[in-house]
Amino acid sequence: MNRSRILTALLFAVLFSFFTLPAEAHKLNVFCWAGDTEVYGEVFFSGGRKAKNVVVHVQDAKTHTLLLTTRTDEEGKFQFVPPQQAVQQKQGLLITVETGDGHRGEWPLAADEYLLTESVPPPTEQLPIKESATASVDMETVRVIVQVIVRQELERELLPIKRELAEAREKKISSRDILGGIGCIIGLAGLLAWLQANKKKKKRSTDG
Amino acid sequence: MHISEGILSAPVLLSGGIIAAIGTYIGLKKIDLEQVMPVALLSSAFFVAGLVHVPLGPGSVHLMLIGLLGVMLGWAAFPAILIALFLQALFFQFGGFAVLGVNTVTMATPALCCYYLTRSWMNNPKTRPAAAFLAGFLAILLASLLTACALALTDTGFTTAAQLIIAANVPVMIIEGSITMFTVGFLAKVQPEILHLNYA
Repeated sequence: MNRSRILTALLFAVLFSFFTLPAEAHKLNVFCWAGDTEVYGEVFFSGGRKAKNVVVHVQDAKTHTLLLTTRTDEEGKFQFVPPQQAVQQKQGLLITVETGDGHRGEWPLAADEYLLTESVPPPTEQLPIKESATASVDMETVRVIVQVIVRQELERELLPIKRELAEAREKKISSRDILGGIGCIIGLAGLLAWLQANKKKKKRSTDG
Repeated sequence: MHISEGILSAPVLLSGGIIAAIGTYIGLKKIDLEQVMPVALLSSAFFVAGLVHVPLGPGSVHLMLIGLLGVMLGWAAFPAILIALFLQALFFQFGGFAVLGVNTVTMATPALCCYYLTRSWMNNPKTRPAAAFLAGFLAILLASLLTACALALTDTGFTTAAQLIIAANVPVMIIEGSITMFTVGFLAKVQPEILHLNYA
C-alpha cells in the first residue's frame, strides 16, 4: 500500500515537473502580416525552432487555387508581393506550409488585411518633388508627399506591432489546458472503474 | 510524430480509424479494475510528454514514451494513446481529429510490438535493462517508419519522409530508451507487479 502511494506520488511529481517547461504545441506555426506592399510571414515549429527552407504555398482562400509559391529563408521568414489576380478580385489568401515529414500549418489572410494599403498609391511612385520645390508649392503635391512619408513612417512603426498581433492570434498552451487534459483522463479512468465495479457487483449478485 | 490534418488521403484516414478502433476495443477488453489507474497515469504521461521538446538534431521533436507505454500496458496502450492524442488535438492542436486514427495506429502499434518483442527478456533481471532500452528505442523507430508509411500511402515519397522523420527522432530514440530503462528498473524494484500485468 505504502509502495503504491510512493509510486503514484512519484509519477505525479514527474508529470507536474513538466509544467515548468515552456508549453507549446508540437505543430508547425505559421503567421503572416501585411506590410505596405508585401506580405510578411514566419514559420516555426513548436518549441521555437525555425522552419528553414520549406515551401510556402499561397492559395486563394475560397477555391484553393495555387497563386504563388515561395520558400522560407534561413530564419524561417518569408515575404511575397500579393499576386495581381488576388488584389484585383479582392480574394482572401490562405498561406499553407508543409515540411514533408507530416507537419502542416496554415494561416488565413483576409482580403481587407492586405488590401487596406493597396488603395493608396504605393510610395515608389515618381513624385514631382523637384518642380514643386522651386515653383509655388502645389497643395496636391504636398498632400501626396506627406501621405507617402506618413505611410512609410507608420509602416516602420507598425510592422513589429502587426507581427506581434499576428503571433498572438496563434493559440498558446496554458497550464489550464494541461490540467484540463489530465483531469479528463482521470475522469475517464474513474468512469471505466465505476462501470467495471458495477459489472462485478452485478455478477456477484447474480452468482450469489 | 503527429501527422497534421489536411495531408493524408481519405482511404488512409479511414483505414487508420478502423485499425485504431479494433486496437482500442481489444485494449479496453483487457483492462480490469486494478489496471485502470496505471493506464490512466501512463495516458497522462503520454499526454504531457508531447510538450517536452528535445532540442537536439535537425527537426523539432518531443518525447512520446511509447516504448514505456507498450512495456507496461500491452494492448491497453491503444486506448491510452487514443485518449491522450484526442486531448492533445483538443487542447494543443497537435495533429487533428481526422488523423486521430492514423496517429493512434502509428504510435500504439510500435508500443504493442515492443511489448511482445521484449516480454520474455523483461522477466529476467539480467536482460531487463537492455530489453527496456530496446523497447524505448525501437518504439520510436517503428513509429517513425509507420508515419513515413502513412505519408507515402498518400503521396510523399517514403524514403524522403522516412529519412526526415528518423533523422529528427534519433535523439528521442536514445532519450526514450534511457527513460524506459530507468523507469522499468525503478518499477521492478518498487512495484514489480505493475510490470507483470497479464494483458496479452
